Amino acid sequence: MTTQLTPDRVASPLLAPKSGFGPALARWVGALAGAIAIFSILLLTKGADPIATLVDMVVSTTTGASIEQIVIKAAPLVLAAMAVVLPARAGLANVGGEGQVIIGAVAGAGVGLVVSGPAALPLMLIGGALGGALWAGLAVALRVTVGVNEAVTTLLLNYVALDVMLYLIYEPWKDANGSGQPATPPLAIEQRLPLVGGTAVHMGIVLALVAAAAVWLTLRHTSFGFRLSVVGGNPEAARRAGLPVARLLVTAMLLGGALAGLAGVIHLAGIEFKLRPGLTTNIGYIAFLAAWLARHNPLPAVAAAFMLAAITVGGDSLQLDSGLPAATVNVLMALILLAVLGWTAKRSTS
Amino acid sequence: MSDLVVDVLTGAVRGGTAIMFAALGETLAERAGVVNLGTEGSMLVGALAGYAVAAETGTPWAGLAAGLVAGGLLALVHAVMVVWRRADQFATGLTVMFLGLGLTSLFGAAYVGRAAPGFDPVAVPLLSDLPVLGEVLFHHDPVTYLSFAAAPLMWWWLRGTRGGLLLRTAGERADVLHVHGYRPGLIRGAAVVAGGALAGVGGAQLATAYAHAWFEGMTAGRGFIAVALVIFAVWRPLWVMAGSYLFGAALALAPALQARGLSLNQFALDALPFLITLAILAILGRRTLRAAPEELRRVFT
Amino acid sequence: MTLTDPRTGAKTDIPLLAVRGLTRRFGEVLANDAVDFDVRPGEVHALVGENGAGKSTLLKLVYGVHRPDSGDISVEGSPVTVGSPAQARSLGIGMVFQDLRLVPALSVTENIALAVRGVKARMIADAAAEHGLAVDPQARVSHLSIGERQRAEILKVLMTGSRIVILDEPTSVLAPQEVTALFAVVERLRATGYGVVIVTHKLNEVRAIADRVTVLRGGRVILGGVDPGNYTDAELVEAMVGRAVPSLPSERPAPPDGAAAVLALRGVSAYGESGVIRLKDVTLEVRPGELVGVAGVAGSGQRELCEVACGLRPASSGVVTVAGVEVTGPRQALAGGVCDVPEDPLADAVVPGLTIVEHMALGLPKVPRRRANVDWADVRRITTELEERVGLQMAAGHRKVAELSGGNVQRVMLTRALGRGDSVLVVAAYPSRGLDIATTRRTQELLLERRAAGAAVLVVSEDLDELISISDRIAVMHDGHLAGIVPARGADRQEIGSLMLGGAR
Repeated sequence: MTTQLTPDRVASPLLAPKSGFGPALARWVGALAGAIAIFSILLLTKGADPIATLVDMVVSTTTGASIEQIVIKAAPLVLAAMAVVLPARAGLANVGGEGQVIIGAVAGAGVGLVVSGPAALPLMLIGGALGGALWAGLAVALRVTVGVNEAVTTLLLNYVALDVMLYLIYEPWKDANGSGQPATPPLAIEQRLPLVGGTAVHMGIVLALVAAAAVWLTLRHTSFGFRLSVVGGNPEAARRAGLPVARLLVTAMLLGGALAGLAGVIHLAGIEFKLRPGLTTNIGYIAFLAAWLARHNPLPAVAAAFMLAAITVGGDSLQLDSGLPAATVNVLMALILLAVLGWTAKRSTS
Repeated sequence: MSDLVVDVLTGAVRGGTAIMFAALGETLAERAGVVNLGTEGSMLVGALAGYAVAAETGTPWAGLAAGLVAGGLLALVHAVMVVWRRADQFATGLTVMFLGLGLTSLFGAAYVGRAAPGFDPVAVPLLSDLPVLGEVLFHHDPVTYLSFAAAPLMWWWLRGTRGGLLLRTAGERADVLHVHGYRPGLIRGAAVVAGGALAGVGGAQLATAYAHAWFEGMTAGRGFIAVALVIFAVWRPLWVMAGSYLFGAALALAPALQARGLSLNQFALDALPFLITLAILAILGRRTLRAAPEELRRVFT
Repeated sequence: MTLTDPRTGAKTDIPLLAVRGLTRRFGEVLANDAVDFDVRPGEVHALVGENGAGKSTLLKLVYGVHRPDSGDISVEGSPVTVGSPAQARSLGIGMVFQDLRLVPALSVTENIALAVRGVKARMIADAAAEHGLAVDPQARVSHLSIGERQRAEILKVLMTGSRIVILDEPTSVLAPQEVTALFAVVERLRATGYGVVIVTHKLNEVRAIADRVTVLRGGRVILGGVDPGNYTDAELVEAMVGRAVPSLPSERPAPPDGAAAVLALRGVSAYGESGVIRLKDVTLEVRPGELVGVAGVAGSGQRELCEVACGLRPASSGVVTVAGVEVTGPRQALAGGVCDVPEDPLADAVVPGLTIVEHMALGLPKVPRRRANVDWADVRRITTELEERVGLQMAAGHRKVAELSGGNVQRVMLTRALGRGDSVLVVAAYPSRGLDIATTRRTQELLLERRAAGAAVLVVSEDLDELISISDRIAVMHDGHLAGIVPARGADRQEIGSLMLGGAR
């Protein structure tokens, strides 16, 4: 007989785990309203009219051009969110999306520097995926060989990735014919992603959605997905069931890194066309938040990526209309995520 | 050449102080069983609050106090989420970091490029005349002198006081505290907030004594290095102190060499602290995890 | 109010602790139904009952972990409300938990300081001497043996000023000689006027130490504070179980002589979790149709022994073979017909979020596939088959294992391991942990059925009686070594006990 010493929890209706759509919706609405209220107070302290600002933000995301902007921003976010979702199923925290996105873009640009013609774009995509996988592979290798926590290593590798890119664009890959700004030469037309018929949106979004569907299918309906969830749920149980735990961890992380790397290439070949400082604008971090917003479920993560893309686009209007720095939307994103992490689900019992 | 050594060592102390405060703060949180990646955010808000308050009041000491409060407040968010809402520690920490990033860019724009009174080096009488040691240790700002006492103090506090015993127990077996009528959540929450406050002091030192400036994202990953540093210092304050100076040295190497006309790749040097951290983590490997407080081990695996 | 005079042992009528009509309901379950219980100064009161009988609930109510729905608690005659464990201790109620609430990373002194403000090593040494509890106050708890930890825990409880000492299944982790030493301490407490409550399910212990016994079943008091001397074992068991339990058939065919061993360990050593050698040069054979029991003080290498046999832990030296083939890993062992019941299912085998059916898939040597996916329809069919063969009444297949009670989790583990008809080696660590007596009996029958079907069976248990009744031979572990192997028939408990403690045979 083991005596558990947890006291009786007061059964508060707010805290009790509930099922059903109604209460869940109420919790979400409450959490989001709280986040927006706190954001409004912050806007007030900066002398901005919160209602006008928020209305502006919402309105600015509904024009045709800004909807295209949202889709363009969402494409790499969806991929980078999948790069968090897939390893998370195996219990791995991939906080290194940012670095993997950067290395993906760097690898894609590198391929673009040497390959031209119709083979260039596919090779760039492959190169970017491999680059991202390599970067994630460093972290997971440390995890399975010497047991270093991957959240810490992926985070540190983000900074190294940034320095790698900066080195390349300041020195060997710098565009000699450019304006003197540190950047690589722009991609040739055939190296860029084609547009989706008649819009400004590049094909990256198609790639991203296909990838998300594939991740969903893999996690939900394959024996590989089942094995990953066993490893993620209890690695010791997986080991005892004879599953190759290290191999599954490595595979999940490499696939995640490849997805993040792809995010980097489509960002490069879809909209940026050259490596420059500030290229990734926190894609990896925002995608990490999107994946958490969706509690690591692939399809909701797609929705979360679109929502955060919309907030980013709305943030640009913030800068134009209220004179607030665009990074202000980071505050809103963080508040939303905190509200969702802390107040929309039952408490875990750990 | 010995000149270079003195320069690097002096720079190690100068540049390592901010990381040391942050890492000591993280030590408190982790000894109580909580990982706080938001340390980076606490440093940032500490840096801005420190610089802004110093600019507004004209006294850097007020800035330092503001940095302490701001860092602690941001960590309070982490504490509430993790301890009482039981949210995931890594995700929350990163979100808190993001919050710090956003808040400092929202409120910090006005202070970019603005002058503010800071801490200037004060030579300690007599001691500063010692050969080598005098230069390395006793030509610093007052906050750095404070930091000399911080690590030994924390070592003593953790080991020898009742508060330290309760904090360590919270990180080892929280339910034992419960049995004895303590509230482990409160102890952990307090440790996280105190840790954030220390990181805030580190940030304020960075802005008002090291850089004498505020700019966006100025901590540049120092908070994350602090988190990693605590791991390979196996959660011991005195090792944290030594590790911080190692990073300070890595940071000081570039300017010291450049001053001697050696052109080294700037970006390789920027990446150096991160690479050193990764290398040490890899070398120590599982040994560190075995030394981890029990409750923390659950977070890390 | 008169207190006991410890020297004369005269007892007052005012109990140190008395509960009257204590009732507590958890949802649909009436965990305690109008329970009366008391303990007087200078007596040892045994509380017995099966798992789920309500012992644990009663302790939690008395210790302030739960509040009763109705009923009264009084201490030394005055009614009290116990709102928290801290309050319980301030009332003089102390509890020694089965899983010992000590912090391994702290010293004994630091651990006691958590309970007793400002305590110094010197004071602890004095108290230890006073109560006859040998403990080094400076030692780190992680370096102590289980018996030493228990003594430290008892010391902690006494130093908080408790007059009522509740021992929750204190003997389950001890060797027989350590039990004797513990009982000497209990005797001393009794003689000095403490009230001791001892929770156990072993009748011989009740007879050895208890002045009175209370039997709980289904949340109700069946026998309330009676003198155990007035009852036979069969009567006490029936009070616990509600009906007479048939004993295991005592005549069993002997294992075939001369058959090649299924499980063979030759000079096997292995590292434990903490990186130190925990299994030392063990040579052991288990033949087909043989059941070998493993006895030992907790942490003597039993876990590592099971793990090397299942391919879960590499041998640092020596060779492990199953049916003549060297064991290289869990996958290969599983495919080769090795089934195991894990020591700690929650840590070792339960995956949060997964259902019973999904857990069954994990135990199959070959998971049925349908295209890229697991053939779940087939796994469900196999689950039903196993369940019917084993007959342990698992919960419904779609239930999540992590949300089941300990006993029900164990049923899942047993069904998975013992349902396979083609197993050649069964390794069962503490198979009856958390089970009621009837299910325990069924589990023992299942193990013997596997044995009769020609499998080699290795059973680790902390219950020597269980091992003696089902084993052919008993292997005794001490500090990682195989201290000796004795035939189960006519085994001498004292001999096994001294082997467990490292003495010579």
